[in-house]
Amino acid sequence: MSTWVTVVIFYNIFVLFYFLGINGFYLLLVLISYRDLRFVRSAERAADRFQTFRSEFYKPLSIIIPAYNEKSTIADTVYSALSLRYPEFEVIIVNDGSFDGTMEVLRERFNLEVSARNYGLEIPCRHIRGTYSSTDYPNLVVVDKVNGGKSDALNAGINVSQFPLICNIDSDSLIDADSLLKVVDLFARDWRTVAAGGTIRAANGCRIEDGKVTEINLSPKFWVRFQIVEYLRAFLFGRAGWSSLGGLMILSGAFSIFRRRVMVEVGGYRVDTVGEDMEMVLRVQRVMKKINREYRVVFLPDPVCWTQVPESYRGLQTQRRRWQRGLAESLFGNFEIFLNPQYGSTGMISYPFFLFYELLGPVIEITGYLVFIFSILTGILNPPFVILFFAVAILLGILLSTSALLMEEIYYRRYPRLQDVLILFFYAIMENFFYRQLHAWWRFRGLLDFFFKKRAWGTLDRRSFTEATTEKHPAS
Amino acid sequence: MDPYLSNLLIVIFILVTLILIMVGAIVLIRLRSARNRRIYRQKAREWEDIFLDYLHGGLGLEEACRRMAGEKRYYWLWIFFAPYLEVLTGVDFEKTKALCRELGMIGYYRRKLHRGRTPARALAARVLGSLQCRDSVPGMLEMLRSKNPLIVQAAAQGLAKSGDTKSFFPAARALLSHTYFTYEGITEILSSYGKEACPLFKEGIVAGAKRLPDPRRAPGGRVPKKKPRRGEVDPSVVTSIMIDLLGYFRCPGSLSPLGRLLERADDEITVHILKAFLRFGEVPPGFDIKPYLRHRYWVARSFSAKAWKLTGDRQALPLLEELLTDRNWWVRFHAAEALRSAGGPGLTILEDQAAGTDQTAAAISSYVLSRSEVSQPS
Repeated sequence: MSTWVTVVIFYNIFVLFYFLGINGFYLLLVLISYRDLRFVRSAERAADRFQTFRSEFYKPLSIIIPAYNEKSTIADTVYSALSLRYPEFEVIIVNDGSFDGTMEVLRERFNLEVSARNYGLEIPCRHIRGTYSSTDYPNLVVVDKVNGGKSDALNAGINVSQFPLICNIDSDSLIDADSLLKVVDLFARDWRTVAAGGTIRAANGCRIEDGKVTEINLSPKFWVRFQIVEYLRAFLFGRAGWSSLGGLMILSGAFSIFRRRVMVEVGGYRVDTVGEDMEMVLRVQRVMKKINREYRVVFLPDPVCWTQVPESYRGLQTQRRRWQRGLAESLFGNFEIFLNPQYGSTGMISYPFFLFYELLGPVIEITGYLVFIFSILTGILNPPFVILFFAVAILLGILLSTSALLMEEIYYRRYPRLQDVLILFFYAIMENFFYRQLHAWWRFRGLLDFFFKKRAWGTLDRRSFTEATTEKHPAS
Repeated sequence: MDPYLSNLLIVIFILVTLILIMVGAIVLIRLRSARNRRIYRQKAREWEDIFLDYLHGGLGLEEACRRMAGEKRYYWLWIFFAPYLEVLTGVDFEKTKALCRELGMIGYYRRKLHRGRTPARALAARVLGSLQCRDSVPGMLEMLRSKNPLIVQAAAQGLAKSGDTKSFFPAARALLSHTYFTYEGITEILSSYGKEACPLFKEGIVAGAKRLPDPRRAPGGRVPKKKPRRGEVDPSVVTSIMIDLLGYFRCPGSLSPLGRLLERADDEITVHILKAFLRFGEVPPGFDIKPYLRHRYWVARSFSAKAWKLTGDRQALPLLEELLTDRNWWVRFHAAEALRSAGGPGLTILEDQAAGTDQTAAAISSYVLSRSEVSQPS
């Protein structure tokens, strides 16, 4: 047998074991999260949320929303944030040098005037041109600053914030009314909690009125539907499973809550990465370990943040390449966690998993496809075996997605129509036939972007929440 | 057939079966939950008529029970009665409780309290607490000894809601030493004991204060924070919680003891006491706010500026004016608000500062004056 045939065979075997490893782990996460979701749901029944809302004892919260050219969505986002059910909070909008009229929209809609509020620069950030208060909404503050990127905007918001808990929300996101209470409850129940987050769901296609999601619908756009299935997998068993194992490495930047003093202690968000959310969580864990302080990073699946996901090929590609780049930046920037027993499950299980499976996964997947095709064409592997193996791979993918749909059905049932869930099941099947491969390609390019040091965020098409809900709905 | 191929076919068969089972489960769960929702809504409408009739005296207990009987899904009964239990008091509450007992709900949850799994026990504690079932108190006290923080939390909440004040200190101790609860979480749970527990809050302050080190004797007037050993309870945390509860319920006869405690309080307890005064809406007789306007801790300065209006001490106006240049925004803001509320002389100070040379004082003075313009009726 010639050397290259041996190499090809060994690579095929490697891909086979890699495939068994990653899917085996996902199935384990499914089982763990199923058990824990059940517990969380049952515990939720015993909780008295009404009492919590009436409580005067909960820590006040600063909600920071960075905005860059968000003219079409910013007003809805602010109204949504202001209508949240929480005893005491402030909303800080950080206008990060927008040039599309975002600041003018804020001035007009919220009657801003120059604020006397001052702040210390505990975390370095680019120049803040001014802070403004709203005469209509006393708990609204707008910070106008020179453009410095999302991380820099968040750091400016932290500097201006006054309260001990910080909640970061994306400007294209809407939080469910009770979501804050549910997540903050984690901080009240456990002093070790330094960071917590909830689930992100696609708002595309939903009816939104006055900054609230009033009717949940499935978007007619197929790119969105694929993402909905992905998000259900990622949150209902991905994050939930990792959180149960004590190895949670990421909280969505779209909706996460941190203790302010911890964020200041770690020096705020890094401005030289596009994966600032994951990088922050990893760095918090490193700093907590260094100063020998007990800590927990917690995910709760019930609190929901609705966000607009990309609806176009271009937008989705840009986003996924950026996410993969951010993943690489975060992992390599916190490499001391890798196989470090001091970090417990994070160091010994989740970090290696993310490194070998999530980061390098697209490389192995794409080369795996190529080698498989080559193996068939050259007769190294017999076609029936390859076809059946692909069938197993596809069915495993469908099984994982269907598990997520089943968990959604058992515990949350957010989509009111059964047909929507069945449509998502259809997309769970279809995603294996081109979407996954395309996704792997985008992630591969994201990895190349990291190695070739590409920096830009790219642009995303934004639609106002009002525009998005006037799409064709059968009911309207 | 090649064994690898046949194994793959078996795996494919298993995967397809699992997927189809899951999809079937999704459909069944959806149909069942829709059906249950319909049934519950219909039952809730019927129960509401029966229950309100019963409360108004149109139906006796036996008749109401007969008409509502047959529902073994006690969780549904709980969801139905829960909002009423939050708001009903007196005779109506007792009638509701009697009805729940006759329907078997209390018996069911009492059994769950002892034999259920963790979430079921937690729910049972909540239900029995809401129904103020004092005979379940021993079971809930037993739950306080659990190593599971969720059980301890649920038991403490149930005991607090039950109103059994004898369980106050065991619940507080369990929350402080057997859970990771923060001070806010514990205060929130203990607040469910209600105003009837006021004597216990005062007792808690006295007990906690005895164990507090006196900051007047500490070097620099600061008591170093000591992390309590496992199972120990930090006396300053206990004292702070009790102060907050006294303030929250405006327990009568609390002002003077709080005033006395203030004389030997550390920074955090000072803040809690000032907050309590604000909740009371008054200060102890003869209370002098001036030292607290000069306090080294900014939070204490901020709350004392806020509390100034309770004293109306005009001699403190110069101190408030000084606070307009404090390095902390909240201190400046509350000082300016206090000056505004003082009327004549206070407003004069603000107007002078707004036109003055000190930018910090000018900014906050202008801001507060502009807020008072906005809040004027048009």
